[in-house]
Amino acid sequence: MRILLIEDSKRLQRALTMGLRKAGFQIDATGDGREGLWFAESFDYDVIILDLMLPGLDGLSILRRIRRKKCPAQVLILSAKDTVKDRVNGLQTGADDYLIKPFALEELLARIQSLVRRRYGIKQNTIRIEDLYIDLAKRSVTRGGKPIELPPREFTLLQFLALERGRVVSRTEIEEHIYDERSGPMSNVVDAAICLLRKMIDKPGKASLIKTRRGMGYIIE
Amino acid sequence: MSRQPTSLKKKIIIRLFLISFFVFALTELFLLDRSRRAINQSLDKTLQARLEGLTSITDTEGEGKIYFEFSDELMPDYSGPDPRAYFLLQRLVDNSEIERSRSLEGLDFVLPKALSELPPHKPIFWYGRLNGKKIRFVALRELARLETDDDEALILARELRESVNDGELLPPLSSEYIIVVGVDTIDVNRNFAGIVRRTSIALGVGLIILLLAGGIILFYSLKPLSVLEEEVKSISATNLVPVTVPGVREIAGIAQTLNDALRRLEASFEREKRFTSDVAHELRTPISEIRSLAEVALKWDDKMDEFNRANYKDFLAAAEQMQKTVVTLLSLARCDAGSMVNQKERFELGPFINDLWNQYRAPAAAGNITCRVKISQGISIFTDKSLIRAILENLFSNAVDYTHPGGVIEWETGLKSDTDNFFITVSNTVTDLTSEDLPHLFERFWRKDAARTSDGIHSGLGLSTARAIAEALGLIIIVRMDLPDRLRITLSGETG
Repeated sequence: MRILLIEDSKRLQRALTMGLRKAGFQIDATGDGREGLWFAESFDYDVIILDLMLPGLDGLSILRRIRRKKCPAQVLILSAKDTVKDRVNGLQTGADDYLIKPFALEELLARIQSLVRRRYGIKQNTIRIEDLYIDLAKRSVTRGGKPIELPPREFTLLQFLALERGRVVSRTEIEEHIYDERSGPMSNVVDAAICLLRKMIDKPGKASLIKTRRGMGYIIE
Repeated sequence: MSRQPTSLKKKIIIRLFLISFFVFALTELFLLDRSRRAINQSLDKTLQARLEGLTSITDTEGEGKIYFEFSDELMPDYSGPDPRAYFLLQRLVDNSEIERSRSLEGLDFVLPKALSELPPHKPIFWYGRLNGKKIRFVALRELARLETDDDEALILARELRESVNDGELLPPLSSEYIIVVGVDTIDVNRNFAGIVRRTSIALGVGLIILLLAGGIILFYSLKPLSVLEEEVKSISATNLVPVTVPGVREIAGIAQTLNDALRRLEASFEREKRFTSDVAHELRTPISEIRSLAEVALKWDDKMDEFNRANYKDFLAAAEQMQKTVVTLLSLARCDAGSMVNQKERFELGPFINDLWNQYRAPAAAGNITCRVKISQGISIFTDKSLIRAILENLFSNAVDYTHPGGVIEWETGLKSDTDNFFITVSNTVTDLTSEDLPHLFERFWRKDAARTSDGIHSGLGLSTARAIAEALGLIIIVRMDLPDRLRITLSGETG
């Protein structure tokens, strides 16, 4: 899942980027409002974490512009502004959630998970595909009751395909959601990751859960 | 030692009374003196008239014989049971008495010796006492009127008179006599007493009228000051409304100066409130940074050794405490600014508090604290649930954290008898609080320990915030020591 973090505090930006990457999210981070708007308009993010008081362009202006352009990303405002008026204003401008600083990291992660679920229209934390269970909250996978240890990137790839279940997902979409600007993918990285994921989740002698649609992309049916 | 301020009105009235009394007393004394003089002059004229009347009936035919043709019927004043006048006629040559009035009969009255050297024709007045009465006397040395047809004798008598008139004191002549006339001063004194009484009444009434009029004028003149006083009384830290500037120049100056001071005070308060709020806001992001850095490190740094892990946990705990302090400071700043959101709803008090208390049962049990709870059912109140929750969480957490192991916490809800007022009391055993500490409990950042040692849990703002929120909700918090080791805090107010 790809997240855009627009936060002007360098230390907070660094801590959150590190934490969210560790949690398996792909992060693009910026401390400038105009740059943040450019990121938001240029890439397809699942969640945008948006500070309100930003240099260049304030958070609410960014929010207004991306909502005007029908950006589907879920927006979580992360701000020190804590009054009811501030919160109501943020939510009415188009934010999906509002978290006041200081906050607990666990709460932020839970809210991001919730926004991701909402983004893909699911209400449970667990996705079941045949006998494969994906726990989005615990970021764990089991198949036939046996746990499967997936590296963060492969888990994110599986999670993305599972959330887009029934729809062919192109390589470009996978690149956009799985890789952030720091880890720009090589042309065959997606295919290699799919290959590795299949080896880890598929049962020997049985058809793969991830189907290839030549010239189009991949799908979990 | 501070002096008790005196009333300006009282002071002015007293001074007005004293000055008026002094002026009136002087006036009275002056008037009485003038009256006394006028009465005395009138009395002396009366005496002189009597003297002339009596001398006119004193005559001689020469040869030293003096005739006095007096009749009691004509002049009844000199006789009777209660005579008002007296006279005594005495020959000057041998001091033999010619005549005395009936009023003097039987009285031991003799002429003063000094009168033997009395110059002629010059009456002398004096006061004396006679039979216990105060008498005004007049004495005159005079020649008896000559009753003759002899021209030579008349010429001689005239020359004699003229020689006497020249002031030359000749040996007494045979026809010379001294006459003393006296009148009782009782009527004069009565008249004078009447004047004293009337002027005193008039001046007393005048003084009263002056004081009443002064009081009324003072009341209306100082009314703007009273209005100003009432308006100033209503000024408080939360009500810095400028006072009305009256039309009276002197008081208008005070009111304007006061309003200027109020404006400066309000600006100062505003700056203080904004400062608190701004500081709290500015601290939010650094606290987030510390928290997030510590949380990320603790959650994902698998290579961290125990020493660093313990340090990061301390960072996180410190950040959490700072966060609580910041949130509390912001609540206080909002209470001070009157911008605390107040969303009232009706809810049942008993279950609400019981649910709230549930989160404190385990820590209380862990501290070996005995808890006694008494809930009156059926009390519903209309207030802001989240704000009252903040107050009660503060009271409960204080009770649990400050009660020593083996201590007791009791809390109770109920209605005050015969009223619509509810109360919630939380009491707990304390070891280091005394009744002298109670006034300080609601002070911001107050700690029993003067060094303000942090326990890592409480910031010293909890009770002041609780009271500020209670006041914002129209509730009252009071605190007292039930026993030397038992602190009781009561939250009360209308059920609404």
